[in-house]
Amino acid sequence: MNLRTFQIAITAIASLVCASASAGSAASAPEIVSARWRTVRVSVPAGFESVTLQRKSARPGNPWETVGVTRAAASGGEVTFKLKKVMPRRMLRVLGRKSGQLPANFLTGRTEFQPPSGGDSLFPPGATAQRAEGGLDLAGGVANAAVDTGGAGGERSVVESDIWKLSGDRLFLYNQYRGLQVLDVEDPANPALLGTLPFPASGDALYELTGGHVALLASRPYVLGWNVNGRNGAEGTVVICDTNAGAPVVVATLPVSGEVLESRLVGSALYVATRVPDTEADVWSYRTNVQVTGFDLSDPANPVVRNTVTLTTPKADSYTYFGAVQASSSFFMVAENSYRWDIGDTRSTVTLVDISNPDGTVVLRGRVALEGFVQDKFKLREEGGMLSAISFYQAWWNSTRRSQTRLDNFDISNPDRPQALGHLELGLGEQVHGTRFDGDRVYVVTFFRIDPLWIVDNSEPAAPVIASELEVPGFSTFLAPLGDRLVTVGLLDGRVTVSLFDVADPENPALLTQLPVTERGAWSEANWDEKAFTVLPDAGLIMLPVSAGWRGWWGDISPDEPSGIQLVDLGADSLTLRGRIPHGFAPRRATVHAGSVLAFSQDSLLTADITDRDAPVVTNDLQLAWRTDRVWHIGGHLVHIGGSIGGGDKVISVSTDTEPDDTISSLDLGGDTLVASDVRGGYLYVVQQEVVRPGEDTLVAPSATLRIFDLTSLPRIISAGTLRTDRVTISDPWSSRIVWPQDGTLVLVHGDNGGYWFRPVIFLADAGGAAVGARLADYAGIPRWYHPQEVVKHFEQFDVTSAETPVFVGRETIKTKGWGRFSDAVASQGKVFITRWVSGAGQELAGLPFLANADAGAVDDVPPIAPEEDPFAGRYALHVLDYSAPGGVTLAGPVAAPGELIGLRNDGRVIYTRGFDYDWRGRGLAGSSVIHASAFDGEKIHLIAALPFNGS
Amino acid sequence: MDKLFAFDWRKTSDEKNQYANFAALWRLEDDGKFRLLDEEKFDGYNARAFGDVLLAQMYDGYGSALAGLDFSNPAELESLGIYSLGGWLWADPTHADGTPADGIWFPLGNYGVLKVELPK
Repeated sequence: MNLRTFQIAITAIASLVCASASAGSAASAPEIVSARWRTVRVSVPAGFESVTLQRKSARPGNPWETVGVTRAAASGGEVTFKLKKVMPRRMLRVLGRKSGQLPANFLTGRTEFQPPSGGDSLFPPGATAQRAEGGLDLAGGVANAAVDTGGAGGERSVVESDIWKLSGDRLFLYNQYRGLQVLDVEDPANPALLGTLPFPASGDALYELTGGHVALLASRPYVLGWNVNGRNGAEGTVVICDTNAGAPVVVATLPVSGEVLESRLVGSALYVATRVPDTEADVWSYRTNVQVTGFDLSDPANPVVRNTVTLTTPKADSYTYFGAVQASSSFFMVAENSYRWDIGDTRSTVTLVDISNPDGTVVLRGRVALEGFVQDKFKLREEGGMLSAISFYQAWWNSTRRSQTRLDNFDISNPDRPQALGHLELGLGEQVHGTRFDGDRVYVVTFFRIDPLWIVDNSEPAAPVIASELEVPGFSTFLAPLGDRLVTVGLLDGRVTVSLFDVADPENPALLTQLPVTERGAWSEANWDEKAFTVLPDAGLIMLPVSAGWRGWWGDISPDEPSGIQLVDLGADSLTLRGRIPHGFAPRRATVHAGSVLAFSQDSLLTADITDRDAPVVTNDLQLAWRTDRVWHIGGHLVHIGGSIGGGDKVISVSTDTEPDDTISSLDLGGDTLVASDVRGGYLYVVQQEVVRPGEDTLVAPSATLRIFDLTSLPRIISAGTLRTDRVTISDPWSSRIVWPQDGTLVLVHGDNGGYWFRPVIFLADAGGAAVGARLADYAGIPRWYHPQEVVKHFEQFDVTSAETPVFVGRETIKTKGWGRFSDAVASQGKVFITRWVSGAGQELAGLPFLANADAGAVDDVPPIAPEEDPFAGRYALHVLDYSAPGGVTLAGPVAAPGELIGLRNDGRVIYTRGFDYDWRGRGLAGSSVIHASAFDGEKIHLIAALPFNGS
Repeated sequence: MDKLFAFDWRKTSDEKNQYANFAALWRLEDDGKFRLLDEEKFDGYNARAFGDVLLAQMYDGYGSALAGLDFSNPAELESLGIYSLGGWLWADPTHADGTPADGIWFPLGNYGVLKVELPK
């Protein structure tokens, strides 16, 4: 007897004892004679007034539900019950009631009654949420708590992961930009961030465990630190945190082999599907297998890895990839899709992994082959020993390109040998979209030019039939059954649309209403992730996130429409568009807590009062994450330059160095492009340039702004001085740098470095260890494919002797024709040094007048370099701009240089460069690479030594 | 005179036909010649010095990482090993700030700030 058979036997024995106890003796108790599909026959001894049939419930703490009660003949006999859906006999029991007794089922109900948590004021006292049979569990007010778990025969709940979880007054967020964040939302208007586990960009699968523990299923190892060992090839990690103290504390980590694909928490066991290389395949085939691993998390602080099974789906002559998973309390089902070259189409294989052992043990069972491929989790269900699968095939071999959707039922009472029961094909020539199992019904949405909503009667698994077909404009991507109603979200003419159907009579469904909630161009995560679609039937409310108002290079997308959480009134027969809670960055989830709406995007948690649903009022906006592009450590503070995630704004913010995510003060720099920034002498210098938007007049040069901030009183940021000028135009802000030839002289160096070049990692280290010289290990410049014949470098000089009154002095320009590049600029002793290299002949050097804004007049005081034929074509040349001279900038050079500037020493008298080695005649050796040390006397560069260097 | 770091890809001295990345510390002597002070296997890019410690970005087989090199004793370069970030977080030393004593803070863009404390 195997383990599963043994468990069934135990269950059957337990049922008999229960029946015996209620009836007085085993011999005189009603007994189930047979349970075949939906028909249950019960033999009743003489003396019983009625018989009650009960089934096990999937809901924890309420294990038995009454299916029906029927009267019995005084002399005994047989009675028959008709189930609404197929259930195995082991999940049924009968109770008899003799004359004069209380009905036996009166004594089998719930015995513990806890007060409600949250006290949601939107729900009237005593109101209970509906629960669609086999569909959404809407109790608790959140429509996405558990989805299509199926497996009504088990007691363990099946939970899908999400990016957030509200548990009482604690909100757990798996924030991709920070990690696990724990918030106290007892007062929704004043939520408090209790702590963060730094683990950004690691995944989006969060589960709540018992005892204040949270599990993260991460797609990467949990490592952060020096010389961390012990990863053992693991690609993922289960990280378990204790959140009882508020701030999350890691109590255990478990490695996960392979790439994490999907997971489910069933009871206290976590099942994870991963993709691993097929070790038996040719190494060049890149073939992979799916593994399923069970974790026992019943003691969260001491989790146990149970075992792993590897799916061995046949892959000959096919390209196989992961499709979808679904779980019941008994099975973890994995659909793998194989592209078959022989038929030119894709087919799915669904493998059954037995997870009925609650300790996390997984056992590989049989598999079924489908005639099409499974697109998502909503197309699989196991219930009562029957597997149903919805697949889609393209039928490419048919010249008329007739695609079709197919429903298959399999008897998996013997999971090692699934047996086909029946199937149904529908939607000829159409693409399948949203589907949903709901008890004996199956909702299927297909689409070609219109959206037929199909309702399939699957009560006879051997012969499923189409109950009805309803043609509807657009198509639905997600379906939420609500008993007699069906709510869907989809697309209609490119607009996100919510639809409401009357499905009380499956043979005559009706579209009650369709409500577009966005304009074209906007979108909603609810269209591809049902967890973003919140349906609160008791509150008569639907919430879904809307992303809109984005601006692209091609222009605005739905510019007049704000992103936010859209409110929709859900009536019995109507949908009504209400207000939208504005939420700048793409909102992702929303729910109702303590009378307020909590809406989460990755960068903030927003609280809103929706008493007036037409005009929701934001009562709090807690920032959870932001962008840091530059950071300086000054005293005990950090000065950040960044902004909001996904936004174009620029913000200076100050935090302590111990709590970098806790902003103490901030200052908005607006939306202008950040060109360069630097800290020197207790001041922060920021150069920005006005943004020119598509369609605006590009003939008018955008103005630039130099802003200076006093950082000597941190955390206060004191604005010292601002200079706005339209005489500085920066064409390529990404390559701009600030250099300081001397105190009080800020030079903004910008221009094209001449293309992408991998440059070697070389730098100078002085006796104290500080690096001095050019930054030398990076990409330099931006591509020149759009303008390949010129390389330009500009030097914008600002006098910042007075931080309060900065002055723009002027611009110097070096421009070459032909292919070439500049080094980084290096400053020393009042001078700025830079080298250039230009290939070929016919180049031109010129100091150009300021051309971008003729009204501003010429700003270059220095005469142009004579536009003669470049004597340094094909060679390196050094230019030196001297800002120390009292009469203004002087431009020296070009001077022949041995290579590209690396750095300076001895006040610019020793120059380090990188380039060719040279022979005794001074001719470069092709293919050579050396570092040069040279002496510069102001007129010529004299090579001192050359160090061979491969320059990786 | 000056010290100069150069990172080289070349054959190792102890293994034939084996190549590795090295960090080499040279000094320009008064006689006009470069003198090698020490070298150490070291892999990375975007290198930058923070005091006497060199930090460079690298890939450690799992994702982005930092390599560290202590050159407080020029005659004996010491590898600090690899600081693993465990994923694709780009800790670019170019825009980082700090000291070996206080720690180094790296801007991570949308992912905030990472503080790296150097091993004692």
